[in-house]
Amino acid sequence: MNLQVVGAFVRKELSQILRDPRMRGITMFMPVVQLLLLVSAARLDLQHAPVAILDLDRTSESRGLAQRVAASPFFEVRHDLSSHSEVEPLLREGRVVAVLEIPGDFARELAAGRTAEVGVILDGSDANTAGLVGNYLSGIAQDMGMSRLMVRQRKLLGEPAFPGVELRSRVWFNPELESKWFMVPAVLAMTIFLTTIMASSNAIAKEREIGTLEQLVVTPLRGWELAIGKVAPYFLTSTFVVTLVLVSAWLVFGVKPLGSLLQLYPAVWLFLFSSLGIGLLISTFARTQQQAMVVASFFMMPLMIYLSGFTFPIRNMPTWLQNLTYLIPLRYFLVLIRGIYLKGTGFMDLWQQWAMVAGYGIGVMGLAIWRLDRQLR
Amino acid sequence: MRGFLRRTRAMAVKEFKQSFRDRLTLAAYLFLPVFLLLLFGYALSFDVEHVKLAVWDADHTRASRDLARSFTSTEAFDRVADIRSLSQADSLVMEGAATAVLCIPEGYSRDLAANRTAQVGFLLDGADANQGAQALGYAQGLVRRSDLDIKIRQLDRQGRGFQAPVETRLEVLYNPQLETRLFMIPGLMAYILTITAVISTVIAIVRERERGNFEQLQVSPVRPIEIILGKLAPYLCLSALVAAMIVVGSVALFGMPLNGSVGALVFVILLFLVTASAQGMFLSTLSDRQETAFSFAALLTMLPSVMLSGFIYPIRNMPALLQAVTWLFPGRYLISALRALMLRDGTDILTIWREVAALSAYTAVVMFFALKRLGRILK
Amino acid sequence: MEVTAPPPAIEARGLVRRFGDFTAVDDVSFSVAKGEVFGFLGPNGSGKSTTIRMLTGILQPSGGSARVAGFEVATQSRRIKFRIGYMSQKFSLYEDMTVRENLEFFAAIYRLERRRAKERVEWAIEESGLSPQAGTLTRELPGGFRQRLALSCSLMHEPEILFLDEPTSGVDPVARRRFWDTIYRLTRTGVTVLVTTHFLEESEFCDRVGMILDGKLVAIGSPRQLKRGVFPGLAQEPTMDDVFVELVRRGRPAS
Repeated sequence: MNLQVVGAFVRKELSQILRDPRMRGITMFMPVVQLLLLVSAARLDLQHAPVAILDLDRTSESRGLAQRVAASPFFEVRHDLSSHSEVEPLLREGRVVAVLEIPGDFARELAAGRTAEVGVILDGSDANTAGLVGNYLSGIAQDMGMSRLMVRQRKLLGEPAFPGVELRSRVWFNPELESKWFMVPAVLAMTIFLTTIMASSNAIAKEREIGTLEQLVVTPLRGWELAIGKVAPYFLTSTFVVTLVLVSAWLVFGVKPLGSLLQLYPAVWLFLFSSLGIGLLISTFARTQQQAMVVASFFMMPLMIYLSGFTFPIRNMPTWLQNLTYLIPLRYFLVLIRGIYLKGTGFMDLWQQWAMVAGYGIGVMGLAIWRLDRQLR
Repeated sequence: MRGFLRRTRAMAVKEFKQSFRDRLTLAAYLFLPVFLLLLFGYALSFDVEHVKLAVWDADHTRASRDLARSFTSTEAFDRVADIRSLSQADSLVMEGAATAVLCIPEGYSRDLAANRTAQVGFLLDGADANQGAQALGYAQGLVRRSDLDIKIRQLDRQGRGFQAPVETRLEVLYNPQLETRLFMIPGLMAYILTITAVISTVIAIVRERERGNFEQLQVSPVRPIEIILGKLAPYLCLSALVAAMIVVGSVALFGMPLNGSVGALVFVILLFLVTASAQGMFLSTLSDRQETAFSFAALLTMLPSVMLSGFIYPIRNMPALLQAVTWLFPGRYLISALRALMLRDGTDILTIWREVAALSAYTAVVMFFALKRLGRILK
Repeated sequence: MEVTAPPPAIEARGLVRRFGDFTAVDDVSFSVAKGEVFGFLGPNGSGKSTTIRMLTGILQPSGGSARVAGFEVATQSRRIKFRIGYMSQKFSLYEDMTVRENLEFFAAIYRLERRRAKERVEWAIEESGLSPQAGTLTRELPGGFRQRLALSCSLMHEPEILFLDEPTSGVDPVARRRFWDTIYRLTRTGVTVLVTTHFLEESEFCDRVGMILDGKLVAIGSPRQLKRGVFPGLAQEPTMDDVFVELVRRGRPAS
């Protein structure tokens, strides 16, 4: 290995990346901006869902139910309606996600010991939210009925207690189920992946487009010297970026890895082989920068984002697609980095992931270097 | 004016030929919507399904088995293991072999028989907070249901001819089957159009800047605006084609209802294409290097249009500051307009006037700065 | 008395290159002696550049063979690469690096030992007269300066053979003149030069000229020989322009 040649390449690449202040900003600080923006963005649970209440009964019972809804952290009662005709426009314009309709005979039916029926009209266009809203509103209404019933039963029969069952939950690794604990490692992985695949897919295509690759072909440069020279700078910048992200996630969100940094950094470095290798491979096929960038952003990035388990759990996918996700290196890296960050898993617990990340990286990088070597010969 | 049109058209024809001679690029533009539509339609879901559940039943009675069955008879939980100790639970979760553990302690049925409230444990891997929260909510719902059943049975035994005091009647408008894919398709549309329109605009303009091709055009009588319009025309047409593919595909394959006004739908999509192009034009003034401009564009569109647009994660769940930031990503306006126009009955341009107003204002501002900066560059 | 001639610096035997159905270079054979300046003359698209790209290892020949510096192009390209320099009409430099950075980079690529690299970089800056611009970004240099820098980059490792593909296109006449002075100085040190050009008057600078038309080598010889061969018995000395036009006319009887 000729260190001098590789060294010259690394110096050249670094000076090209760092000379352009905008590129410097993108490579170094964009990931932190992304982190700050995206970490608290991803919550699917129900919070402050806007609802309206159509109370046709106007009794203390019906108001009691309305108050229970208003007191719930899940809902925000935005409108108090008095007629059916107001329901549809609110839902249609998307101003509320549901309307709770308390019928005019609510208190009467309750008092008579019959089943009172309340209506929940849902906007199904957000299916996920609608499902949750339906469940929670039903729950609140049933709770109210049940507690009234029990109070009455006790008065009537003097029965001291009712049997029941209660759930005691304990959540491991992320007791408050805060999304930041799960998003910090995910965003870290995503941004490293996006920035490095972008840079490396352009790396050779750019030299080819401006004609310098031809100049390199007539020199005794070897494929792997070119490859190492092209990707090594990103090991440096990515290490810097990971450190910056680690520190800012700790300072801003109080999230810091439970596991050892001695595992985190090697995991990142191993993963870089995959993402830089895929990029270089694209680069050996692309004739122009446009092709490289279009392939990277239209094939690679969506594929990786959606099939890695970042937003959509892999176990929900059909089997054929689950099998396809084994081709996505980000999938293994996400498991690995979440394990290290949140669980402090030891090396042996996730040895399969380690092996896959390493094997994938070596494989794809080897393929890219082999192709580069043939192109330089 | 006639000269303007003629020169713009000449530019556009040249661009059409140049842009689409590259088959690979064209294929990529058309691959993206087809691939994602199929993926979202048939394969992706964030519902709680098949959560790997280990059961630790220390009670071994009919009541405890009933409770366990109430979990495993749903789609949400798959019973993957029966265990006998907490340490087993620990190692299963650590390896990722189980995501949740249901623990029914010894004495569960004894408590019920003695009219006491029995407690069952639910251990959950919270690493994926969203899935965790949903799984937990689901488990709570199941236990609440069991609790209700147990109480009702007790009342029945007291011979009171018992009835549930309150029942809810759910009425789901617009998407009665609560199909998640119908919810996601508008977001998908915004995502794809953002990528296609913004990135293609940036690449088209900056490539010419980097190669210095604009210099040649500057000495000709072609005006900057004509150059830009000519450059954008093919990509706008392509994006419009992509939008049409998504609409037609989602109607044909997934039964997406077009409940609102179709005219308004077409209008808001076209308006968004102008918005996205204006964004692309603005971004392309930030650098004359393809690599830099593209990185900007990709980083500003790839993740934010998934995360900050309401595509998957509701905007109202975000902290207030972040909600304010989402105003800067126009995908959110398109998504809420599309959800209204595609799914909800009786919607028209008036229903979505807020979104239209926001998009128009956004476009005007961005376009103003983009043209000002581009004009200076092309001068 | 027969003197054994030294082996030629460049020797092409029946070189062919096809792109699909199109034959860009059709059975081209010639040889260039050590220290010679050999010019390829021909209109745009005639196959000059393709030939040079095959000889430098950028393109694989579809047929025929060639030896450069005594090595077979097809099998020993790596040994050739240490001995040749190449400069193309695009002046393939890194525009976002300074003059000095470009030179240092190519010195390292050619594996010059550190002290030697330093010497050569100083030499190149001196020789190309770019001392005041040593720290300037390449993209800010005018065309003539870039051309000199590109030439210096391809000379960092003191090659035996220099391939120049339209080295003077896009450069003003003064710079062109200066460029050729540099080439002459190089040949005095024994460097062989193969140059393509479509500037007809430039071919007068060459020891020998090969005329290429539609991928075929239609004439070869010193400029004087060519003029006599094409216009025998002409009183007035023809220019290379006349020779070229005449050859094109003969080569394409239809037009």
